[in-house]
Amino acid sequence: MSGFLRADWIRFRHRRDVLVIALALPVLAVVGYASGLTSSGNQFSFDPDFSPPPEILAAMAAERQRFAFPQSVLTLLGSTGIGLLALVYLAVATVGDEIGWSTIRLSLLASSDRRRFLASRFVALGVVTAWIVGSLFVLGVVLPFAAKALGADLPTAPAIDALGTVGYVASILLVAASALSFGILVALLTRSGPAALVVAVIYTLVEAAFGSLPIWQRDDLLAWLPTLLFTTASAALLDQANRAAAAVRPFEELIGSPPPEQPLPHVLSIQAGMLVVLAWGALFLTAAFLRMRRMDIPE
Amino acid sequence: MTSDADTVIQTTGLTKRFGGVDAVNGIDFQVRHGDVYGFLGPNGSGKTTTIRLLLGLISPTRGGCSIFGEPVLPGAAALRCVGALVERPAFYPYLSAVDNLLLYAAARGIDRDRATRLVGPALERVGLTEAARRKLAGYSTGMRQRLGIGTALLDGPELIVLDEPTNGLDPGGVVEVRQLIASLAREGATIFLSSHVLTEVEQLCDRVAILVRGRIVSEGSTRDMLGEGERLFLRFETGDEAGRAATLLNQRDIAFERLDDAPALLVSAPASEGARVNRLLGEAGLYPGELSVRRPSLESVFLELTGDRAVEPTASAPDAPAAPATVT
Ligand SMILES: Nc1ncnc2c1ncn2[C@@H]1O[C@H](COP(=O)(O)OP(=O)(O)OP(=O)(O)O)[C@@H](O)[C@H]1O
Ligand SMILES: [Mg+2]
Repeated sequence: MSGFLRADWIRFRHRRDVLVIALALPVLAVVGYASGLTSSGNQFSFDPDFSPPPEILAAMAAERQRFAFPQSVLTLLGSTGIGLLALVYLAVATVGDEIGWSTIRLSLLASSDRRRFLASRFVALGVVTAWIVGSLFVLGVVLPFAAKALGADLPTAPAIDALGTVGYVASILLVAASALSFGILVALLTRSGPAALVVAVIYTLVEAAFGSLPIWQRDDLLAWLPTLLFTTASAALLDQANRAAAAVRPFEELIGSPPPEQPLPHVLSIQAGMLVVLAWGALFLTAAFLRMRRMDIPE
Repeated sequence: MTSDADTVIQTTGLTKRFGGVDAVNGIDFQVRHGDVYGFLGPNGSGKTTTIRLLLGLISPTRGGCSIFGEPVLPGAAALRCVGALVERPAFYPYLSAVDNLLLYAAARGIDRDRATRLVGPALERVGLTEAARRKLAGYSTGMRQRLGIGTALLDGPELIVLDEPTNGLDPGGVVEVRQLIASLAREGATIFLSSHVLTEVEQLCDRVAILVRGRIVSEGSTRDMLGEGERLFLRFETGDEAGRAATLLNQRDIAFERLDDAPALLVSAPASEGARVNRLLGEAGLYPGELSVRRPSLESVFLELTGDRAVEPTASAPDAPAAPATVT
């Protein structure tokens, strides 16, 4: 497989979209951090005489803590949402273009081992994922100190939950791997980068619409069904895992008022969420390999 | 059909159906080590489809094929010994020719040092040294075709499969590629060549298969195929002499054809029969002013078999190499 990986390195190193995404995401994260930090401090600065109510001040302080180490790590990792979209795009584009440009033929004429071709592409995209997640993690550690050095006034943040953070990073990687598998599968099915992108977007919209059908609300058991859908489960998992890692208390607790009476939302636990996302990922990846093995390449 | 250690390509009942179309319909052929095998057929007859099947890019509906005795399946080790150009070659438009070749070499499992050593000569061989660093997006059709050939030959594969290699090349390029194929054949490579350029096949290939609508209608050595259509051309001084010769041939049950525009006959007999026919006529006091052998061109055989047009192997056919045998 090292040969295919070396080939992927040549492909990726020169592909503009890969470079843009690999470099732009960390840059965007830095910009997001800076603008978030600035705006969290000066919401009311236009009127120096105005003193906001204490619960608002508490919420503002909590908000500002998100930019201080170690909470900053989770804040930065929290911006992987757009990164995941970028990864699906990369999976779809790099696999779809191979078929669209017929270059898959070049690879399969070089070596006809289709499984390795696909496995290597998956690994190569995994490396891009690791780079993105890793760089966000490092930025989460470095940026608060850089901000302090530049004179920003950062509060001390509460500690993060170590195990929860490991779980969060694992969740991000898991969701990313499943998203990559999804992208690869869609590209193999549609046989074209642009068509695959359109299908991926439509799938997400259809899933959202399907999940919000009123029929699910009729029954408590039925209501769990939409939570098992791929994007719903992925989004919920990332959200839950982020909260667990940040060890955040509910907002109501912060402002000191009791939580309002409302029905318990149907949300999968982190472990259950991981299992569901893993199952989807495995399904997508297996389907992609089967498709790759059987498909004719008349391109 | 038997298969032995000398067999490089073997197909048995190879069939590929696309929708309702039998692109390739139960074809059997064998290519042996060192052959330069010509694969001919009109547009849409299934040449490229056969090549895709041979390379494991598509899977057969029925039947199968093997390369170096190993069934063609995705991942088959035997395919590593094959270099191929299929239809229009495809390359990464954003990479240079060098990078495209390095990528191909990497995917082929060739280590970096060896790949770097191979790329220069490969580009040189197809005349792309100067354009080596240019991105493929800016390549012309012919340049792409040259790079496709260079890719197929990169690591000196044992079997070279070329699908219309001279497509899109300028006349100089056509000659260069023809010489390249001839030199590869001399070096002992087995070559499977699909082509539209019949003179090219005639000059290069020792065996030929002609494919029509997915079926092989003729297969054999190029020499035999061309020999089958050989005729003797006899020209007399007068129409009267030609008439007497015709009567004589009729009496001996020798098939011939009388030409309308000249006192001449075309006798359906191979060159080896020339002396006998000449003697027969001499005994009857008939001496043709010209006796020559008319060999059909591969083109005429091809057109006849593919039913496009019945072409007379006449002396006026510019690419019919008419070798004079005996002249009285
Ligand atoms: N992917 C495909 N889907 C449907 N039909 C196909 C496909 N590929 C080939 N065909 C059909 O199979 C037949 C054989 O096509 P093929 O490309 O093998 O012909 P060819 O001999 O290479 O022709 P040419 O000389 O024009 O290159 C044609 O009728 C073609 O339309
Ligand atoms: Mg073709």
